[in-house]
Amino acid sequence: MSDPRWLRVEELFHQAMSLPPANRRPFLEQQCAGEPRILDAVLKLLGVSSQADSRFEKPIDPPAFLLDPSSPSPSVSSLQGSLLGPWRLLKPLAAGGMGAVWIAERADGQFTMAAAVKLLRRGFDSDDARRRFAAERQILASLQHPYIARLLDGGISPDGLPYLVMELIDGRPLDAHCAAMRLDVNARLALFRKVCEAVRFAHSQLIVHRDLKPHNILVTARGEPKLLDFGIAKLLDHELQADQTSPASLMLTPRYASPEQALGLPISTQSDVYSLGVILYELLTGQSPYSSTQRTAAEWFSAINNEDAPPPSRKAADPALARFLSGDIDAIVQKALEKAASNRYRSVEQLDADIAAYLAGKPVSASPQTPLYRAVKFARRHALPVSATAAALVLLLSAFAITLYQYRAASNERALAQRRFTQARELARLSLFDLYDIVQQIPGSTNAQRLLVSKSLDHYKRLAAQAQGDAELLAEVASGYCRLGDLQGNPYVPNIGDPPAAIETYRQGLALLTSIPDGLGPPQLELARARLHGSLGDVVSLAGATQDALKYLRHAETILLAARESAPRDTAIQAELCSRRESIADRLAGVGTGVTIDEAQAIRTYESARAGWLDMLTWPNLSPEMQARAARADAIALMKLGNVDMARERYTPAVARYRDARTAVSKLDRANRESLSSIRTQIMILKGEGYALLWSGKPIDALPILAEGVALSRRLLAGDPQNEQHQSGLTTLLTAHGEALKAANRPAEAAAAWIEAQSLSLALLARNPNNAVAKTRLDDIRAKLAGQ
Amino acid sequence: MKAPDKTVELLRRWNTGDSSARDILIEQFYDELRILARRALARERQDHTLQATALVHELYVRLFGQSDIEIKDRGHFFALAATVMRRILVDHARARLAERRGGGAAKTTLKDFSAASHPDTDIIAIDQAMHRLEDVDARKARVVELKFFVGLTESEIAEALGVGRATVERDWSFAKSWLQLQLESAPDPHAKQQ
Repeated sequence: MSDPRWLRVEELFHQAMSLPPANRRPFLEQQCAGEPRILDAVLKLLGVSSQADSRFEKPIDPPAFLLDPSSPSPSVSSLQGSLLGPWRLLKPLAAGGMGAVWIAERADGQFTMAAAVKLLRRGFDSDDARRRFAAERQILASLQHPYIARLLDGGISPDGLPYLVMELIDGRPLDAHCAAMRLDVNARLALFRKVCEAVRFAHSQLIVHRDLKPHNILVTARGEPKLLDFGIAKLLDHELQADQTSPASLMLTPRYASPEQALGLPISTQSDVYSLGVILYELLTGQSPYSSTQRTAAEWFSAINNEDAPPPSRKAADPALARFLSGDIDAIVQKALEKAASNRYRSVEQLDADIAAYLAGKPVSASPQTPLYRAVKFARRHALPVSATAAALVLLLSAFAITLYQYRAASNERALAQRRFTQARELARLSLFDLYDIVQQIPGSTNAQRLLVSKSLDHYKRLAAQAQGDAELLAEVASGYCRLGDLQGNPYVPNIGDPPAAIETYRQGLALLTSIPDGLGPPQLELARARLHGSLGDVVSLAGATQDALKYLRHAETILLAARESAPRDTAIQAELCSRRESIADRLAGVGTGVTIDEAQAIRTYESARAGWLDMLTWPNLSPEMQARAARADAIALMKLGNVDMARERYTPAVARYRDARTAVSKLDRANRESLSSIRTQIMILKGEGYALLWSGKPIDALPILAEGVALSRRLLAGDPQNEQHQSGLTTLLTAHGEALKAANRPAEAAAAWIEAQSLSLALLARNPNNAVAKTRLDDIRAKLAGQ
Repeated sequence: MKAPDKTVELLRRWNTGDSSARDILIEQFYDELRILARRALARERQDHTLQATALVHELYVRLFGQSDIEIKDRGHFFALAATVMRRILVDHARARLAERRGGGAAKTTLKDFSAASHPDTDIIAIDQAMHRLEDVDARKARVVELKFFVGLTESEIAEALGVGRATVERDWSFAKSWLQLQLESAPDPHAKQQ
């Protein structure tokens, strides 16, 4: 400012600026006579003033790069050589969002040791904050794992800045390592599994990383990962939260943040699962799961919450890679990237297990669990040495073909055992859950069912030996045992009439599950367990042990209520729960035994079962099968409510209930109305309605109803003469029809009906002497014939 | 000592010529500004306008809140914050330029906000010219920092620098033409000598 020429130029500039533009030059020429350089300078300044106005009109836009944690702090270099405890800072290593990192050495001469010192930028001003810092530091220091960089020391600098001293790692960031080593997908997955192992270990110590990203995962020259900065984000969180206005998420790297972090919601170990998902996505595709336009934290956070990541295969530039990624890897990555934590892998362990399964060629939990998927996995795992087309054909033909192939291809004993196991599982699934459903709908297939049962049981026994510790497989095997038992002797489904074998099978199924306490398994396992208890209840009640039956059934109900908590709107669980309530009501109402235990409670329980079915009918996307089942179940419950009225001689309300029940059945479409179970339902309703009319003194009205029931029963038995249930059903209807005939003064026709019923009952008792229903009925028929 | 007191004390020490106080403040402001910027960006999802002036004001409120600090210290605060902001912007422009010249792809995490209004080369050239401006007229350099790198109004600048508003207007008017001239004749290092 001491330059007088400068002051003169400025003064002239301002004076000229205050004049109209046209007057400026004459004014200046007059003022600067003899000072050509001054005149020139002022004229030049005036000449650029409009450009200057536009260039400087707006201040520089905000420094958004402040968001980039890697931009260095300007004054870190001033710390060079300073001491923090026994550590001397040698040179800056990096600067991160949390603070600068220095290479340091121990300066107290005790031993030579290099370390990385991280200076946290935030001050820990209060005593409370310092105590917390010390406590967290203690926890982190105890985190010792070969893949985790150790925390060696830490403290508070004289300026009040906290610092942490960590193992110095010589390595490259995960992504850079993979790129430099040109690792293929399997090698990347194998390396990623080691990362999972480290994170899993930390989680087991209740430490969440919160800021996982490739730069926090260094890979050493030996190819081993070392995770940095475990739990440090949390140390800083406290400070940020204390400051009220800052969302806790400010410090973290938005690109790898989980939705809950982006929203500032509580963080769990599943947040790390998400970050691992993003890292894996990038490792496999080289691209972020989100569209690449995001730059600011706000845009990242918005994308994390709103954008669905396309499957990795769609982001792969190379078509061969895309094919490789599609399927299991897509499913695994997408499950890790689920926005809702409840849909995500529950733990890093599960994510890791799926990658391991993929690498071993085994089925992956994230993929849809269809028999075909499993068959495909099965074939791929054993790398059929045939052309791809032929392999696909083989798969589509049947699992049996593959099995034969496997036996031939098996080269050593261990492989054979492994393959037998897999094959048994595949076969048992296919035969029971696919074939059985088909076979049981075919009238006259009892022998086929019997064969199927004995073959399947063999398979399941082999499987059961190896299923311990695998909850999913256990659930599968247990429900297989249940289906087998049902097929052997559950009175509620078409069966081959061997209740003792059924009870034995159910007990074996339950014994498999004893390693997992009731209610603690996954929903599918609990469902299988409940089914076993429920079916056991059904079968023992048939043998007359009503109180035992109620115990089993109520136990099933309890298990199902718990399972419904963890899997609401699961149709299988809901359907099972309603069915079990109906069974309980049956026992209370004395269905089959004629001994009512608690009528009021029975009615309430039937109504609660009905309410459950009707509620399910309002669920969106209910399958047509389930719709039909719920509608039919409602009809059955109505019929049973009619039966309760009947037991109390309330015939008029009973007739109304039965008519409602028939209406409910008639609403089913033709295919469902004509199905085996619907016909059985109709027969039972007709029987009830017939008796209600008969006992209220209207035998003439009852006759056509009961005649229709008999006709339907004959039709069923004619289609499958060995079927115990059909035999039992026809016995009942013939007895009823006989009574109506007698009341209508047609005794000869009545006697003919009863004699036929008597011989059917005798045949049933000959096969199962403990059949209480048949026993009661036989006594009844004999009395009627005697009274003729 | 509470945080505002500590900062005020540092401002005073700096004012009395203690340059280590200035270093500590620069470090502190740098960190604070980064946090404020992130918070502001996280808040503004659609609208990306994030003004340096708002950040500096927020920084002030954050550091001093309702506490009473002398106008002189307040002025020091703004002057120093403006210096830090300028440094931040220039360092960044340089880093980005070097990255581009190094042939590397631009980092996706670096959003080139300033490119819209002011190219990196411009920012660096302005900064260099301002070093020369500081030599001849330090107050004008402060005015430019507060006006152009922070975006304060003339009244705010007048208050911060303890001068009249008219002075600020005159300084700004002259300084920007002068800088413009320097930029147009950048290769000539003696341009300021008329």
